[in-house]
Amino acid sequence: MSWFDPHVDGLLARWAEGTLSPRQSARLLRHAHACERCGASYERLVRASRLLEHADPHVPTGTELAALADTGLAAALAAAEPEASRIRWPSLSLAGGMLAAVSLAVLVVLVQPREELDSLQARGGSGRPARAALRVFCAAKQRPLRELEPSQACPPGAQLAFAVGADAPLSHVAVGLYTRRLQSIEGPFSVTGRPGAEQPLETTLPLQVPAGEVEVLAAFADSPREALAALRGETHQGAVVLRLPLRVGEETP
Amino acid sequence: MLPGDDRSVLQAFREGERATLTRVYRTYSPQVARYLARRFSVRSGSSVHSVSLGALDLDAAHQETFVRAFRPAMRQAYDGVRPYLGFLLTLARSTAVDLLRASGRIAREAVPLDDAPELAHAPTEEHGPEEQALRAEVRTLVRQFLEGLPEEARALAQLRFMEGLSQEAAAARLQLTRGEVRVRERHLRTRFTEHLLARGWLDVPLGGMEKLP
Repeated sequence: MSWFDPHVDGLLARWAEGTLSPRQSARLLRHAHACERCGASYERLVRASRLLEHADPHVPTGTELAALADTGLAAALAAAEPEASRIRWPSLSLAGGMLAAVSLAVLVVLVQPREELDSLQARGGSGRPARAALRVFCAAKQRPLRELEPSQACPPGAQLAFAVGADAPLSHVAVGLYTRRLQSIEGPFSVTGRPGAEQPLETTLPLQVPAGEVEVLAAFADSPREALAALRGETHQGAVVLRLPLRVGEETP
Repeated sequence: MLPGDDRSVLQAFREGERATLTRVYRTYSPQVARYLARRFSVRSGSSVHSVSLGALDLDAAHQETFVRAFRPAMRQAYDGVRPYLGFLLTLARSTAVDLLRASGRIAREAVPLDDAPELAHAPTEEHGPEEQALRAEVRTLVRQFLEGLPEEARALAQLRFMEGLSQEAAAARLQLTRGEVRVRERHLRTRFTEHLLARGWLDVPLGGMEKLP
C-alpha cells in the first residue's frame, strides 16, 4: 500500500521548508527518536538550519520553536492529572476473561452506557453496520505491509500502522499500544473514513518492546478530548473502544 | 507574570485546569527551549566541560521539563511569588543534566556550574577538535550557500535570518507582499536543503529531492 512510508523523509523536507503542521511535527519527532537513520538526518538538518538562521548552533530555529510549542503539550497535560485518573493496564486475568467470553475478530467494548452494547459490532461481524472499525498493519523491514488479525505476530522493531473508520457522531480517535509495563499513546486524530472505507491514520507506533503479548486500543469519541479520555479509561457517554490483542515476535508459519 | 500574576490564575494552575496549563505551556515553551539549547558547563574531576543537547535531546528535555513542572506535587510547590520562569529553568537545567548523564555524555558525578557558582570562573575546555571541525564545515556550507544565491534571494536571507526581521517587515523593505516573501522564503529553504544534499551534508534524499552526483 503506497500510503505507508517507514521513514519520514517527506516530513523532513517539509520541516526544512517550515511548512509542517503541529501534528506532522509531532510525528516527525516521534519517528526521529526511534529511527537512527531519520534521527541523524534531523540532527544534521537542524544544525545547518541554526547556522543559516542565527549563525549560532545553540540557538533554536523558528521551526524548532514552533514544533516544540505543540509537541510536548499532551504529555505535560497528561502528567498534570492526579495519579488515580491516569490509565492503568488492565490485569491479564481480566483481559483474558474478556477475550474468552467474546470470540470476535476485534473485541468491542462500550465504555458507557452499557445498554448500547448490543448496537456495536466488530468489523465483519453479524451484519449490522459497525459504528467504528480499526485495522492494524505490521510494517517490518524487507517485508510487505501486512494486516494483522487478532493474536497475530509482528516482529520487534517493526512499526504498526493503522486505518480507521467511524460513523457520526464519532469524529475522533486516539490509539494506544499497551504492554504490562508501558503504554504509548498517539492522537487524537480526526476520523475521515467510515466502517468499510477506512482511511489511514497519519501515525505509526514502533514496536520497541520485547517479545510477548501486547494490545492495541483505539478509542473513538465525538471530540478529541473525549477520545483521549476514553483511551485513558475514563467513562464517556457514547465513546467506543476497540481492542486488538497482538503478539510481538516472529510470525510462525 | 503567569501563573503567579493573579490569585485566580494561580488557583486554576494549582488545580490543574487544562486551559491555564496550556496557556502557561505556550507562554514559556520558547524560553525553555532556548535555555535548553545553550551550552551547559559542568565540572567533572579537575576539568570543566561545556556540553549541549542535540536537537532530539532538546525535544526530550523540553517535554520532560514541562511533565515534571505540571505534576500535581510540583504545581503545589510553586509559591506564586517568585517568577515562574526561574522555577521552570531550574527544572530545565536539572532535566538537561539528567539526560546528559543518562546518555553518558557527562559523568554521573559531574556538577553543573550553575549549581556551584564558585566554579564559574574555572577554565573551560572549549569545543573538542571534532566539534570544531564540524562547526567549521557547517559554517563553510552556509557561506557557500549564501554566496551562490541571486541578489534578491540573498537580500531576503539577510533580512529574515541575519537581521531577524519578521516576514511583514522584510516584505516592506523589499517592496513585496507578505505572501511573496513567504513563497520566496520557502523556495530559499528548499534550495538550502538541496545544497546540503548536493554537498553531502545530508546523505538521505528527502521526500522528492534527488541527491546530485
